[in-house]
Formats: sequence, C-alpha cells, structure tokens
Amino acid sequence: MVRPDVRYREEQLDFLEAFVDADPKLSPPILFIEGPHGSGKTHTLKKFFACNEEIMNILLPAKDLIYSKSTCQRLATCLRQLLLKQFPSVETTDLDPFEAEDVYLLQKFINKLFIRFNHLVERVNLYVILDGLDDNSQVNLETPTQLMALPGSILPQAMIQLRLIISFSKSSFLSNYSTFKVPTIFFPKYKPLEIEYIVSQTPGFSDDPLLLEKMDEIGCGNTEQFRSEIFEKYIHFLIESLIVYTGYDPTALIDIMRIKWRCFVRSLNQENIKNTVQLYKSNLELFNKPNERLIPQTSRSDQNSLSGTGSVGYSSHSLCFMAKYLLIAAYLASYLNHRYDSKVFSKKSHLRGGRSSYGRRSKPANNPRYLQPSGFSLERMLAIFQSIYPVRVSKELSPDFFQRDVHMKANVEVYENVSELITSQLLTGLNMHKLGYLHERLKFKVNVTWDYILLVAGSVDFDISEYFSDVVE
Amino acid sequence: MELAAFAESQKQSFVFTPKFNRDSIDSYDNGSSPVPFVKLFDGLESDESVLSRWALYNKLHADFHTSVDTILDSIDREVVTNISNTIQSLISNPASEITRNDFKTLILLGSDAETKLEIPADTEDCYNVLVDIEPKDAPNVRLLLKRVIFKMLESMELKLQSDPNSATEEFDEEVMKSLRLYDMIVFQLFQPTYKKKLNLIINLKETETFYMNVLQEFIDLMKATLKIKGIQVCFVLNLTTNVEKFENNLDQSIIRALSYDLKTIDLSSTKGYKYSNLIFQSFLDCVDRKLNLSPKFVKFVLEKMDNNTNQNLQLLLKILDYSLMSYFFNNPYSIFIDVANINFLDEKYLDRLTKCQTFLNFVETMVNSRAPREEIVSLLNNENDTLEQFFVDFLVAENPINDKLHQIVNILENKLNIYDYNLIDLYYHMLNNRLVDYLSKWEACDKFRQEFDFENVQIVFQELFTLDNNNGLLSQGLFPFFRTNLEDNLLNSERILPRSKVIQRMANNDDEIRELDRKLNELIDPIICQVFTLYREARSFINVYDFFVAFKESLPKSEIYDLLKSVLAGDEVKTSVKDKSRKIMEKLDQDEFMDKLALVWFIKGLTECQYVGILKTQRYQTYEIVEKIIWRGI
Repeated sequence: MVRPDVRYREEQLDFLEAFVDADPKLSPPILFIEGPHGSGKTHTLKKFFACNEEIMNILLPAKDLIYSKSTCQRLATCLRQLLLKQFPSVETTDLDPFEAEDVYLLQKFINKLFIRFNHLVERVNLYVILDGLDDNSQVNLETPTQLMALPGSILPQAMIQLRLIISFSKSSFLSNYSTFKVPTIFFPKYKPLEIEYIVSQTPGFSDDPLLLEKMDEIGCGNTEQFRSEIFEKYIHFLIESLIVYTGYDPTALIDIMRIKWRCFVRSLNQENIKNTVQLYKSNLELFNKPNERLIPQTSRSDQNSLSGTGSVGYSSHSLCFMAKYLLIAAYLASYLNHRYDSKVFSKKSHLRGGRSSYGRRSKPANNPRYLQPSGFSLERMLAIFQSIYPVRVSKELSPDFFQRDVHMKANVEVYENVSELITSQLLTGLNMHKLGYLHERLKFKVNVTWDYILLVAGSVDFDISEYFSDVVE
Repeated sequence: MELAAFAESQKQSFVFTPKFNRDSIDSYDNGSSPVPFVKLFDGLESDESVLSRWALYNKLHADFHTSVDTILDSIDREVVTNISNTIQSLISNPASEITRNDFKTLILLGSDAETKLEIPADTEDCYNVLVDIEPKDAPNVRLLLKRVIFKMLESMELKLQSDPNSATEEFDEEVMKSLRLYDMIVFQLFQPTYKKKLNLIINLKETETFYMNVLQEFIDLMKATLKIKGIQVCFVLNLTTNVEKFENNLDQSIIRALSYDLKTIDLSSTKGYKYSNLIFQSFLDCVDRKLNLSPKFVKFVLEKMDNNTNQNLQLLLKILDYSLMSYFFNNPYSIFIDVANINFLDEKYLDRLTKCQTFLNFVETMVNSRAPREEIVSLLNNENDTLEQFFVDFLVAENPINDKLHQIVNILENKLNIYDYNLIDLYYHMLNNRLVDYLSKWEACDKFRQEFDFENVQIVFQELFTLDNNNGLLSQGLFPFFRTNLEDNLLNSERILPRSKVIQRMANNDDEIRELDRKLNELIDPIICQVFTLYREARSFINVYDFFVAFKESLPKSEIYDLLKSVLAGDEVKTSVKDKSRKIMEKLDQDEFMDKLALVWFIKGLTECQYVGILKTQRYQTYEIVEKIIWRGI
C-alpha cells in the first residue's frame, strides 16, 4: 500500500491503511469518516485512493446527488462504467442502470452486475465513497441505513464485494447509527499554524498578474521570492484576524482571501511594501472585519452620495416616503398591544372619561428586539398610518378641498404602496394562501427587524423608539 | 291649520326618499353621438363645437403619445442592451487561477417580473443559454435543479435544430439518457456531448420571493459546477427592495461565492430624473403655445410622484393623460386653442369671459391707470365686439415660459454639466418665480444668475387655457378613496351601473340580458346595495334576524311576486329549473314565497358584504350577530 503525502493527517492515514484493503477478508464493509467542514476529509481520501489505484473506487459527492432515486441511479451508472473500464472483455451493456430507482433495485442491479465477474481468480473489493452524506438535505432518514445494508446484501459468492465509506461533518449523524458498530475515523480541525501552511499552498496568488503589474508600478525588486513574502504576510494578517470568525475552516479562509486580495494589492505602495507594520495599518479596514457583503462598502457609499442630492423617494430600491410611513405603521401595529392604541395614537384624550383618560393603565415595558411580531388587521394599520403620516399641506397655495383634511385617508396611492410592501415581503399576510386578500380574517405581519425599521424611521425623521420602552441602544 | 298639515306635524318619524333625477343624467346622454364628450353650457353647446373639441383633444393626445412612445421605446432598448452588454462582459471575463472558484453575478436593482433579458449570441466555442426561473419553479432544490436542467436542454435542442451544421449529429443513446437524469452529471457531460463550452445564465425572477433556503441550497449545489471545466454559471438576481435586506437572508458562504465577480445595474427608470424629464419636456413641447400648467397642478404631479416607488413614469403619463382629457372634457373654451375655431365664439362664451380673474385684474389696472371710461365700458359690455377682439388678441399671445425653460436646460446641461435636476421641480419653481432658489443647490449656477432671472407673466384669460387641479377632480379621479367610493357606489348604484336606456339597448341585441332582469332591476337595486342601505343605519353589532326582517320589509314584495309570477307563466324565460320554480310558486302562498326568496337574497347579500370587507362574523360565537367593520375616516 502506497502512502500519500498529506500533511497533518498522518494519524488518519494510518487508520485508513488499516481499514481499507483490496481483499474483502481484511476490510470492514462500512467505514465512517467524521470531521467538521474543512478538516481535510475529502482531500485525504482522494489522495489516498489516487496513490492506491489498484483498489477500485468511486467517489461521489453526496450533496450533488440530491435525492435517493438519483443517488441510486448515479451509483449504478458509475459502478458499471468502472467495471467496464477495468474489465472491457465482460459484456455488461445489456444491464440498464436506470432501472435502479431505489436502494432495493440498486441491490438487485449490483448483484446482477457482479455475478458476471465470477470468473475472476481473486476476490476484490470495490469501494464506494459517499462524501458528505449529511450535507444532502433532501435525503431522508432511511436511505443512509439502507445504503449501509448494501455491502452485506451482496451475494457472498460474488468475486467482487462492495465496500462503503461514508463521510460526514455532523456528529449527530454518527449518533443515529451508533448501534451499527461501524469503525469511525475522526478528522479534527486543523490548528492555526497548520491552517496557515495549508492556506499558503493555494496557487495563483504570488504570480497573480494584478500583483505583477502593481509591483512593476512601484518599481522595487519584482522577484518570485519577494512576491511570495508579501503573500505570506497577507495570509498571516488574515488568519490572525479572521480565523475565529471562520471557525478554523481553511476553505472559508481561502474564499475570503480571494475576495480581499484585489483590495489588498491595490493598497500596496512604496511605503508599506517593505514595512510589515505599515502594511497592516494601511489595510486595517480589510483585516479588522470580515465585511462580507454583496456590494463592497466603498461603492455603496458612492451610491448614497449620488442619491443624496435628490429626494429620497426617487431611488427605486429604497422605499418612497409614503411606503416608509406605512412600514413604520405596520411595525407599530405588529409590536404594540392594540389595547393601548387609543392612548398612544389618539389626540382626543380629553373626550374619554374615566381611567383611560389619565392613563393609569400604563403600558408594560416592551422591547421589540426580543418579541415576535403579531398579526394585525389592515384597518388597524391604516388607522395608525393615518395618525402618524404627516400630510404635507402647502401653505403658499390654497389647498384643494381634498387636502384640507389634515389626515391622510386611504386612497389608491396608499393601497399601491401597501401592495408594494407585500410584494417585497416587508409585509406578509398570515394564511394569505388560504384566505385571499379580501377576506376579513386576513391578518398581516411586519417582516423587518428592529435595526431595519430604525434605519427606515431615521430616514424620514420619525422617532420610533419613543413608542417603545426599554429599548437600549 | 289644515288637517293634513296638522297630521304631518304630529308624526314622529318621516320617511324621506331622496329624489334621484334620472332624467338629468339622461339629458347628458347624447344617444347616437359617437363622441363621449357631453354638451357643456348646460347642453347649449353646439354639436360642431363638441366635435371640434373632441378632434382637438385627440390630436393633442396623439401628438403627445407618439413622442412618448419613442421615449419609452428608447428606454426599453437602452435597458436591454445595457443588461446584455454587462452579461457579455461578465462571461467573457476570463477566469484566472484566483477567480476560478466564483460565480458570475448580476444584480438588477428595481427590476420587475416583466424585465426582459437578452443574452449575447453564441460564439465559436461556447453556447450562451438563458434559463428563466420563477419562484413557483422552486418548491424544493430537487425540482429547481430539474427545472433548470430541463430548460437548459430544451433551449439547447432549439439551438441545435436551428443550426444546420450540427443537426446531423446524433448523440449516443446512453448519453442522452444520462442527460435526462436531471442530475449534476448533466453539467459534467455537457462539454463532451455538445463539443462547446457552456455559459449558463440563470435568471431568478423576483428573487426575493423565492424560498431562501431553497435558493441557498441551490447556489450551494451549483458550486460543484465551478470545478467542471467548460461551464460558467451566471446568476441574475432581480431585486425590488434593497441589497442589504436580501443579503441578510443569505449565508456568509453564499455571499462569498456570489460577491467576487459581481455587477449591479440599476434598472429603475426612475433612478435619476432622466426619463421623467424627457417625458415632461415632451408634454410641454406638445402643449406649447396652447396650454399652460398651473403651479398647483405641477405641485400635484410632484407630490404624487414622490409617493410612488416603482411606477413613476407610468404614473406621470397617467396624470398628464388624465388632466388633458379632463381639461377638454369640462372646459368649453378649449376649442379656441385652435384659433381657426374663433367663429364659434358667441354670446354664451363672451358672457363668462368677463368673469375671468385675469380679465378683472386687467380692467382694474385700466381703471387705476385712468383709461378712458368709454373704453372700459365697451370692453365690459362688448360694444362693437371690442371684447371679442380683445379675446382674439390674447389668444395669439405667447407665454415665454417654455422657451425660457429650454434655455435654462440648455445652460444646465451643456455649460454646467448638471444632469440630475428634476425638470418638473424646476418648472414648478419657475411658475412661482423662485427659480433661483431651486438652482442654488448647485454652486456653479451662480455664474449664470442673470440668465436664470425669470418672471412668470400673467396673460389675460390664461386660466381658460390652464391645466389645473383646482376642483380636486384629479385627486379624486386618479387616487380615489377606497372606502368612501365603495360606500357611495353601494348607495347610489345608478351612478356606476349602465342606465336603463343602455340596458334596453343591450337587451335588444343580446339574449343574455332578459326582460326579467331588466324589470327586476327597475324594481330593486342590486341586492348588496339593498343590504348596504340597511347596514348603514345599523349599530356596529347587528342581530342577523333583525337584519333579515328589515331587509324583507324593505323589498317591494307584491310587485316582485307579480312580476315573477307573470314571467313564469309566459314562455319568454327558458331555464332548466322553470318547472321546479313554477311548482314552488304554486305550492307556497305569496308571503311564504317572498319569505324564502328574501332569505336567499339576504344570505347572498350578507356574504357579498363579507367579501367586500364591510362585515365580519364573530369567530367563536354563534352566528347570531354580525359585526360591522368600521373604518371611521381611514
């Protein structure tokens, strides 16, 4: 058995060598590989089987197989292809792998397939590696169990025997099958130093054309060694600051590294290129925060300054003035208890007599951050909207008679904006599918967070936190 | 005191039935005339002037819309080419060692379901395939993938069919079968099968309404294609709200995968004022030398556009169209926009001219400047046709505001390079003589201060040729109040239902509308209206039985009964249940029958009220009581 060179995974390789063998007598039918994301499971397995080509193997990323039918069919196709390649003389084309629609049919298919090879002199193993089986969200509970029973259900007299290696990242998966007594190899997370080494092996950075160009521009020694030095420094900074954020996951780190690389190269200049401290300081923004957004912060602020000159309502992916107030009204309706509505929103408190007029029934403290939104009927939201919406009556012109009313009544405009909110899912209807839009029982719910509503309220100068007590910023 | 009057005064309650004069509506109904305009001056207007008003309106409307259509076309074309170019630049961007592991992403901000994508044409060595995916295609990741692959293969088939070179090529049966697996293996097989690279452009329509976990799983799944050579995946995300909200729903790993090679296009045609400026300008040019816009009207346009997020251009067009139409509809003087129509000018037109505010102002200045008495009097009394002459003089007078506007825009765009101004706002400030205030936003404008000096002049009789919003017609017509309208229409159903004359005409042509329906309509209003009149008088909780009794009493029972009976006796009505109905009628006496009929109608009306949203039943109690949904002035 040839031993591949996989750093920091020597122990796991020892176990692999012990459990995996071409001879069916020397190997257990199933092998589990457990370890969190980015702990080198797939890499090690691939290397191992690449070095030991005499062991027949199929590696299938389980995530791509999606559901059990396609898993079985894919498995059958791959098995037939592999055997066809290994033993071109044996006729297998009359077997249709697409018949293997579930695990039982797959087992039938495999038996039919393997029986053709009974002329072999020696018994051999065929390894099927299902990589990351628990990443596949569509696989139901029984399929893995059925698959595990597969090696045992191959006819014992067949000269080819099936062996299964299943890798997964969640330990809860293992506990489902703890009674199976399957030998398990555990891959722990890499240590920081190990991660630094692994990440630095990523190709393409030190001879990136962008870096080459920049180095020429700066005009200092553009050597291979110097470039890789810069790259190493970059990695070091990144790992120092973000290793905890990524949860010791080298793949995530490599992704982040690629995204930030362009920014980093652009910031290189004569002063900081040789000075490590300067290099770090000039890119503090980069290394301080992960800052993972779809559109980078810099271009975002450009956009803001552009739209800042016009009125807020004109940029389409932000809401218009009325829609913002509607959203605020929806938020208040969702998070305030309707019993206090008349106290909070009515301006005619003197009309009411008794206790409610002087407010002995005081509000309980509520902080929307920790609450779930509750449903409200549309008319309640519209009433709140009416009470908070500032109708802009222009003084200079004699207002037409519809404007003379200082309250905003719900006209088509308001409804258009409500529907706008619903399509963008800022407002959702409870049971909308069942009831339909016109039903009197239909209730709505706001679908935004406190931070978002603060932004929205801030942009129209509406102090929403005054409606809630106990809000600590 | 007479006895009758005395009895009347002793009554405790009065029944007052407001008289609705159907004839007054019918008098406007000009029957055979194909023109929807009505005669103004209380129907005194001549037929020719109505026709010429109608012709003038149509001409102006057509003029405006030809220019608008070209503008809208150009917007569409610009958007489509813009998207197509961006996709081209995204997919032609070669993947280096570092970028190999990333998707291409295009975010279309402010796009809607109708946004069309055009993809670049296929090249020598790669196919560009567009796949449109809607939220309903994606109930789970398995079906989503299936749908994507299916659509991809479908469009590949189309491509191969239309391409004569490769049509002869036959694929291995085995391979075709594997392709139909709808599995990730399809992507692996693509290049070996079709001998070309693939650029798969997945257009996720209304991206925000997808199930986020399905979308994420799918993107996660598609990561496998990054490692396959010869395949590039480009996601097109259509966002209507903002990016922050969308990315809050995504995992960091997905964001990482999407964000490396990402471009954004802001599609909202409302972004900036470019297109609305173009449309407004074309409107001004169209009505130039004919109509003016009042400041109040422009303010109205501005306000309403401010309150609209996505459909700004459509809204602007709608307001302008509607205002133009309503102007021609209700202003008899509108025919004089064309000076050739001056021969229509007669007594009834002149009579109102003297009441114009601008004319009165003019006379006042004449008085103040001590003009000769005879002149003023002759003008006021139209002696020797002086007033007529005067009116004609001012018809040809020009308002300089549009020319000035052109000048200012020219300075702004060509000399100062300012493009992000709002033309409508600018125009509004011009009308109010506060142009400088508006332009003070840009410092560079100081240089041209004297050029921007503008005084809006009042032309006599201007108000006759002004688009205005002084009677609230626009606010009411374009932005009606939902609830009040609903209630009004339920109360006066005559206003929105076709008039009896029309019904009669329809009845003659159409067998569907039968004599019975027509007669029944004359007897009672639609049932929901009948219920609503009672509903309006009730308290907020209504006992259903009381409600029903009241409803029953409100029906003209004997008339209905007679009508039904006579109709059933004849053979005019042919329904399958006729025999049954006749039997029922025979079995029951009038009271009983009407009770049952009223109950059926009542339940129908009540249910309709419930669906319209003005009534609700109480959830946990028996159905004895229904509750009104009251929206006091909301």
